Amino acid sequence: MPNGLAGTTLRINLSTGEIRRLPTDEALYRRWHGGRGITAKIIYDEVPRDADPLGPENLFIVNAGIMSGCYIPAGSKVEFGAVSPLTNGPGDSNMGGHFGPALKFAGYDMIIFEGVSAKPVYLFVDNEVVELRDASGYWGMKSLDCEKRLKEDLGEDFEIVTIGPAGENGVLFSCITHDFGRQAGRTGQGAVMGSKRLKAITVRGNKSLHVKDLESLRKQVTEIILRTQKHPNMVPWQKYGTAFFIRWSNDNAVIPAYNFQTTFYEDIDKIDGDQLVEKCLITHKACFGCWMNCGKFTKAVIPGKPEVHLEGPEYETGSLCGANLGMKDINHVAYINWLLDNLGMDSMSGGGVIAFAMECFERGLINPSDLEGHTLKWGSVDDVEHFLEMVAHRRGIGDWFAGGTKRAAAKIGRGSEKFAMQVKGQEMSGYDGRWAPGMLLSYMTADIGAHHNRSWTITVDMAEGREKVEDRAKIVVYLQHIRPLFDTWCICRLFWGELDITPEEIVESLNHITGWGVDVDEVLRTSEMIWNLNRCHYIERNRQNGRAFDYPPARAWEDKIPSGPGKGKGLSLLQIDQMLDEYYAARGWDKNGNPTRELLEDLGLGPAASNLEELGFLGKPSPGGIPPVRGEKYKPKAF
Amino acid sequence: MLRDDEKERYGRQLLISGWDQEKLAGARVVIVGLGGLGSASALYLSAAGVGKLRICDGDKVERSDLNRQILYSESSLGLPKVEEASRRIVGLNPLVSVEKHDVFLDRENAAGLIAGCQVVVDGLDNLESRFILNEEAFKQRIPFVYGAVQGWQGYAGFFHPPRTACLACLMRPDFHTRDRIPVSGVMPGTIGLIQANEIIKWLMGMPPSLLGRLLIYDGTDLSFETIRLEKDPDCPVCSKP
Amino acid sequence: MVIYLKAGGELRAKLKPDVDHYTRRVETEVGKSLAEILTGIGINPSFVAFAFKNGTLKRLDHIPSDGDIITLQPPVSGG
Repeated sequence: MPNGLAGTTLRINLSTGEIRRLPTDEALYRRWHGGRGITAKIIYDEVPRDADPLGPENLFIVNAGIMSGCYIPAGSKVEFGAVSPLTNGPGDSNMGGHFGPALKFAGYDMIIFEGVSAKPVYLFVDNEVVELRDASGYWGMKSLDCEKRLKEDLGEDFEIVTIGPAGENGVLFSCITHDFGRQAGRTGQGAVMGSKRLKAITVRGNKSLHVKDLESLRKQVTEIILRTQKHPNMVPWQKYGTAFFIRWSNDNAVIPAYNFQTTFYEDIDKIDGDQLVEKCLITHKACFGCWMNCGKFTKAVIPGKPEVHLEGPEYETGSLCGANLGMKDINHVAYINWLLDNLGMDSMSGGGVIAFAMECFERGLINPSDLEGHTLKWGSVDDVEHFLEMVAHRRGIGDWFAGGTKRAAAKIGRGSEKFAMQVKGQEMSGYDGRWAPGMLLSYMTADIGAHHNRSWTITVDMAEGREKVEDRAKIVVYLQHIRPLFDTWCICRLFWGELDITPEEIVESLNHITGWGVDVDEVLRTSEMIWNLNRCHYIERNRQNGRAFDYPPARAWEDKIPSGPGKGKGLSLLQIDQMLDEYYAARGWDKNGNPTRELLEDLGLGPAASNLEELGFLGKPSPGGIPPVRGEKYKPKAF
Repeated sequence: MLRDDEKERYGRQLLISGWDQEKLAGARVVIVGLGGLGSASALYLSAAGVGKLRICDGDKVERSDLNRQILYSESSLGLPKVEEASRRIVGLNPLVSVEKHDVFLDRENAAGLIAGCQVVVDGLDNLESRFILNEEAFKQRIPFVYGAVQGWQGYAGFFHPPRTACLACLMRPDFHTRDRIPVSGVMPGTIGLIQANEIIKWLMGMPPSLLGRLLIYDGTDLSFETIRLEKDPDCPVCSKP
Repeated sequence: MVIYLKAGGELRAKLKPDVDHYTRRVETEVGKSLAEILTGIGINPSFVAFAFKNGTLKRLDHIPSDGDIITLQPPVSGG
């Protein structure tokens, strides 16, 4: 049996119903390391550049990674990959829970879906049994309700991922839900699933996995486990989950409030981690192989509404659906979290879309007659509930917002593009970048749009100067290589990245599992290779110089922060450009943001260089050549 | 003192605190050009009760005017604009005294056309005439309320040199203009009403918001931007004493 | 140095914005006037009536500084 892998890849044609079992390509894993690395490679090679992301030519890939399920803590993740309908570029999203390991225990490393099913189906996997089953009885159900019903019908020991009505209806920021509260939210993977009429995947597996050196692995992780149990960072994660960050972000003036108008929220006491623990917490929840229990199973209790149960809010939802919407009650934030989860929409883009719509309403750009007689006022949970129903079912003006803030702003016009807080079509995470230049640069240059997880730099900005833009780019480049490795290997960054486990130790675990004998520099190069492949893919699909897609909305440079500790702070467009220039130089790209042939060939991506050249977007070589190493190693203060 | 019929006619605006109807009744305003801009400003200035309106245009009504020149109708086709405009103005408000000049503005007649008026309203449709009007208004020290439209854009300004910049401080007549300028009806309507509003304020002694400023209106995104106009020390018109 | 040009009305299409819907980034030499910069990027200055920066009128002989954001306005002459 291969090391770390289950051994079989499924290729399923939803148009014909054909299910093929193929031996997992180990050479592919050796080169691309799994997870988002493999999804990036496969969609680059197989999805035509003019394919409709919601059409039959797009692939929908489920990859359980190389380290997940392999006798290590927090080896829980699964990656989903497809061309994103939200960004029109390479997209991926992952989730914790138990699905990834279950898939491997059933015997499968990856499932590649192609085509479109004529009728709603779900994929049933029970060890050797793999079947496409009729999902007409589940189609139309909300995500959490659907998972519950499938567990009743199939058995509690099945691990299930589902989409909700939003994914079925093609809302471009639809998510995939699992374990009653884990989501793969970003880049609209739920919409791709829905476009294929794939309602759910259900998996049960009880095989074991083989690793190269189990003894050494056990010894190493035992030491890590014992050491990290006493790590001080465990305390806030275990008590609050990532909601711990809500107050921290406010104190440090990076929390988005009122659609990123300002970065300090006066009513933070009503919606922070303490409120979550005091008013909503039922119990703690963990993913596969992890005792950090950072998941918070909670209730939202609002007079006049039924009590609902959910997992969350996490930091991102807590901020983007909290201060960003002017909410003044943690129960309301939790309720909105539940609405988004159950309807099947990414709570990050969801929060961004609601906030954008609220600002449009405040400015009179949309009005009650657009909203079926309702308002959309800051802080109104009832208004949000009605609005989200319109969006999930693409009713009336809900159809405009179902495409995300960028498309909605294009329809609304009247200068609203300025405050559609997105890059490349994907909404920003819950940090404002005007007083955190590295964070803004991270949003601008992330391959999947304005997402923080590729490189999170708030503590870097605080350590190196919040108003200084010089020398930030090299650090962003390094973080963009090291952080996505967790998604490539399908292990959880909260455990492996926040408890002072070193990159060398993680690579040691990888080597014990796979026997590859790689070192940190080599895995960083692999990550850089994936990054550049995605950049080429984006440029090839969108047919403009890369730089054209790397600017934030004009609020980022036209509006200084109006209140709070960050009052008056902000960057100029010139400073934003300086950061981009530095970033491209640090990456070995040209001034137009296009990778050069020298760089791509150095990474073994010569054919991608030829593709760019044919389209006229190959980066022009610079006289000094590319930097020998791209990115400057930096250890940010972990949280 | 207002008569009863005036109190009735102007009743709604008399409710506005600070409104001075008698000042309007005693005002003398010249509108040069009775196209889209002039249609809007003429109608609303007369509705407001400006006492004397001098209107100037040498043109006759054509069908292609009717998408924007709301003084006229199908029955106006072929008739002199000043006649039709006068009929419409007096029909709306018989208390307005209308003085008609069936002429196109030029260098020879400009001085006489605006002499004795308190404010000059731009209703022209070409830059060359505007510069003539601007220069004459400066010479006679009469405020010139500028307006212009093209496509989805409109400009408006209240120029009163030497205190403020004039039109020639803003631009020189040396750039590209089109023979047939694209205009929809709502654009000159919008700008004409903005001009009328500024004039009404000025006549009643209120400071015009566009004094020495230029309003830039974009109908595609409903943006209104106002910029400050500094006097050009080398202005060929108003930099000389 | 770098300046940013924004355009209103019919000028916007000629400008070919590349930062957002309205704005184009232009690299230029210090000391050039707006008219020279426009000529350098293929826009005939006679298509521009005036410009403004920070709410103040600028004529085409204005020499911008590094990082300036300048809005160009087309001639508008109808009525």
